[in-house]
Amino acid sequence: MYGDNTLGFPILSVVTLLPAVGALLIALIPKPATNAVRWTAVAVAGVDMLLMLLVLGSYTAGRPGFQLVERVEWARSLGLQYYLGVDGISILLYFLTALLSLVAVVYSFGNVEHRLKEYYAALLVLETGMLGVFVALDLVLFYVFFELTLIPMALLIAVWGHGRKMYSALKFFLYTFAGSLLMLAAIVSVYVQTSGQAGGPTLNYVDLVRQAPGWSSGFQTWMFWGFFFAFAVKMPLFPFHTWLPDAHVDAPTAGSVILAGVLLKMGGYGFLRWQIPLSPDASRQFAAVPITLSVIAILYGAYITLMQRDLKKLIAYSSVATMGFVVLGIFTFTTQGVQGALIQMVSHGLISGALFLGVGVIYERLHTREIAKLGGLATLMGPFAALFVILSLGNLGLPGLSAFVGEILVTVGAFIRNPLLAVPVYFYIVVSAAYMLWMVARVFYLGKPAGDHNLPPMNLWQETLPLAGLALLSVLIGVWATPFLQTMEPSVTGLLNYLGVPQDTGTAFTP
Amino acid sequence: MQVPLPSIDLFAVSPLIAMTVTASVLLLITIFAPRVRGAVYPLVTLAGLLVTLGFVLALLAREPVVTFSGSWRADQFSQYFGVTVLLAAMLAVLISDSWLRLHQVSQVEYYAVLVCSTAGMIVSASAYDLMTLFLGIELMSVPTYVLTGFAKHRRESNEGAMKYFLLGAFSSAILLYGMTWTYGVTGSTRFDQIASFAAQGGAARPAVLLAMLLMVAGLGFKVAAVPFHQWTPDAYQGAPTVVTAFMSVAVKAGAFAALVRLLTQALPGMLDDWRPILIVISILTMLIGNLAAIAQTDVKRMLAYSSIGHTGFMLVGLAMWSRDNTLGASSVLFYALAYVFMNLGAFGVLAWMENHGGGTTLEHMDGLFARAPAAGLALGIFLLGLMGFPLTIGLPAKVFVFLSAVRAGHTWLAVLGFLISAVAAVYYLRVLARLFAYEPRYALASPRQPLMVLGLAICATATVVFGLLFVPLLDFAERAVGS
Repeated sequence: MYGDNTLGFPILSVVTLLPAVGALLIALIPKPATNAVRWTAVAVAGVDMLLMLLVLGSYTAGRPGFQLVERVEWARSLGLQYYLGVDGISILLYFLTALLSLVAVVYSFGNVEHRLKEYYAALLVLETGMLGVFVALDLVLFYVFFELTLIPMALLIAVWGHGRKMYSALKFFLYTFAGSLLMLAAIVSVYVQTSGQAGGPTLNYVDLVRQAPGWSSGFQTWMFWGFFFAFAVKMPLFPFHTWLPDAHVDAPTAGSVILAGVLLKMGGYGFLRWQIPLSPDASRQFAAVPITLSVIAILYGAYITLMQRDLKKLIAYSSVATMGFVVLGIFTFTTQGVQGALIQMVSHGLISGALFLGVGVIYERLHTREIAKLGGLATLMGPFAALFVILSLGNLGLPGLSAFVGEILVTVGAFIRNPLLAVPVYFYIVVSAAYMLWMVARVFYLGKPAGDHNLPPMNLWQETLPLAGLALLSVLIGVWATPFLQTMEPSVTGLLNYLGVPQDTGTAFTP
Repeated sequence: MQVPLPSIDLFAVSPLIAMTVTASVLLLITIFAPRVRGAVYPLVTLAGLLVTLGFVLALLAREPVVTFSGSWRADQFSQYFGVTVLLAAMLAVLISDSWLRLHQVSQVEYYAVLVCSTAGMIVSASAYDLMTLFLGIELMSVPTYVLTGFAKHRRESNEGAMKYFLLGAFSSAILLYGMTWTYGVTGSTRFDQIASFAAQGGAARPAVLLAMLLMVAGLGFKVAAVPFHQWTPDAYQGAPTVVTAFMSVAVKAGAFAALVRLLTQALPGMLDDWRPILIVISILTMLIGNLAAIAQTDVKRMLAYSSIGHTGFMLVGLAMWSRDNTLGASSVLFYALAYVFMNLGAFGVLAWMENHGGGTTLEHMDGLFARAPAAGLALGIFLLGLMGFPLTIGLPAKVFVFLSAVRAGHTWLAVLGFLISAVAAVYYLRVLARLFAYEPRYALASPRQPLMVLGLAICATATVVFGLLFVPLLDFAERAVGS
């Protein structure tokens, strides 16, 4: 019932906590040994990635329920548990986290000099927090990991960022913290609600899912809104998105990669894992609200992206629109929509993570991100331009890359739910093509490069390989999505059946 | 003819005796060995406090006892607060030592007065009779007026002490007036007799209500609840920082002990009357304390306002108490103990910086982590704890208080409390940002102060460790309330 662990080894704990242990190790290394610090960080993130492959290998796709489970009573009298496990909804995001963390650590190798020890310690603690969010199956444990990501991310922005970094860091922290305190109030309510029932208080996912359908509609409404804001801010859903452009633009490159690649996904994951299961009736009742907001986010996000003059801001705002797609997909409550949302999350992690990395590459060399000051870069950095253009095309949903799969599935799901919802989707496809192509043209092809024409070549390990690797993965999902869809299908249909939305599972879309 | 003697259980008052002996020994040392210097005074004080703690722990194993004609109750509740204030006093001794020596302030009076104040807190936690309660409150307060003015050459210290004394005396008068009314109406000063009288209700009810209001107001001064909080910022800012550290946690704990005991054991029958009053006071206290803290530029004053805000959070718990919802009271107890580590630690780091020639304004926090990593990290932990961040003891403390609100059916109050916590995060974050992200601006000297480092390390460790293993503490608090 609570899932099993075929490996017989607490692999999830090891993978999740290893980076934090690495951060402690780094804190112990003497300050002048900068290369020891760098290599330790790379080694920790690399070993974690290898262990992650072991997790993937031990995971049986197509089986419902949780796998690789660890469950220990932590505070018996309070009913709290240390409960970890993965299923089809979390496994890909869990993998993505380790991958992008490795990319961030490797990319930082040659680019960060200032307060090096603290930098890597923050990055690794952040990795532990993010990994924990995706496998924690006890609400308190989830909350702890969810909050644990806040401090290191805010520090990354505040200490190693640019521009109005302090303002952006505080804004990021406060927005998220306010949302999650409301979620904490909701968690407290869940606790009180369950303590009246047989078996005593529980905050464990499996037990809660069994009890939630029996909750009164008033309580479910409170659950829905209590959890909604925390995840909507994280997502970020219109109108809670205003922290995102600031945070992204002022964050250091590795911070942007993590922020766009993983942190935003915690919102979408939170909807699927906690909010919807804890308020099944209310979620169906109020689904129109997130759907409306997501449509606004898509339209407004796309429109405002068109206006951006700063390359990094442009990609940041395009995230608002893309994440709008994710919310839309989730709240259509169709297999296609939810699967599309999940694929879209993974795809956005790969593509926007890579794009932010690309912006970092440009900024390192030209010290500007203003589109007007860039131009003709294709003549200077040919291979990089090729990669960046492929990724940009991926971002606009070119068939053959992962975003296309996500978008088409979400579109199908939206169409099933209400054909009118397809209208903003078509608008988005046109506008996103416009802003991405226009950006690509202005940065790489039009005009002449200004200033220094002897740019340093691409660094193979820190720049080329991560970029190429992320692009390749995106292509892999784009051309061969079936295994990914099959991995998530049992969990998604399980969730939708639980919601009581009739699903024709036989026609799950497989390109 | 035999005079019936009241039953006297000396073991039940052994902590008080131990404290009195400690204070006397301290004073006698100066008389008989005036040239004693060095670490004698703090060590004697610590030894006395440890012996007292030993008695308190021994009493924990005993059944509750009411003795001295029903004026003293030694139960788990008294011992819980005994442990809390003794911990606060011991930590205060640890962090005070270097300040006293750097400023060449007379050590013996300081420690003797500190011990007396702690004894007063133990009395107020054990009082089962209005007169004993009043004695306890006064024994707790008068020494703190003296401590506030201990930096006698600083104007702010004198000003703070004067304000604190005048308003404190005024509030004691109000408290006493309320007690007089209670005695006049109920004919008794004993809690159990007041409780049985108040439960009957009848024509005397308005008079008991007035008495209750006066007593809540009087104790409201001591816990720094709005609208009785005006003395707090000046007294906290004026007092030497090490004194503020002690006062802000221990006096609060002692006064809350009195308030909880009075309302839940003497006046439980008036629950429906005092609950709405406390709800209003708690909301005002949370709001005004935390909003005013945002506007401060001096971290010491900011923490003074934040301390008012924390009183508001604790009052929420007390307001939610009922016989079926004892978590209301035990969450207050838990909070009081958690607050000792977090707030004493936070003021302690400020005192540490002052000893190093630093200041307490926001600018002085710049880059503390880069300059003195251990101090910066410790202050960071304390501020995160006060903010209610996970993995610190501040989170369970807040959650239990608001959990009791949800249990009592006041979910809205819990939501409001969490939202105000988010507002409070603004000013803690401002300091945190300066600690970690800014470049150091002021130089710090480095005198050796091993005792202070030990005290702060204990606070920081406890803040984190109990943030994970909070269950034993909560069990202790629940047993205390249940006794």
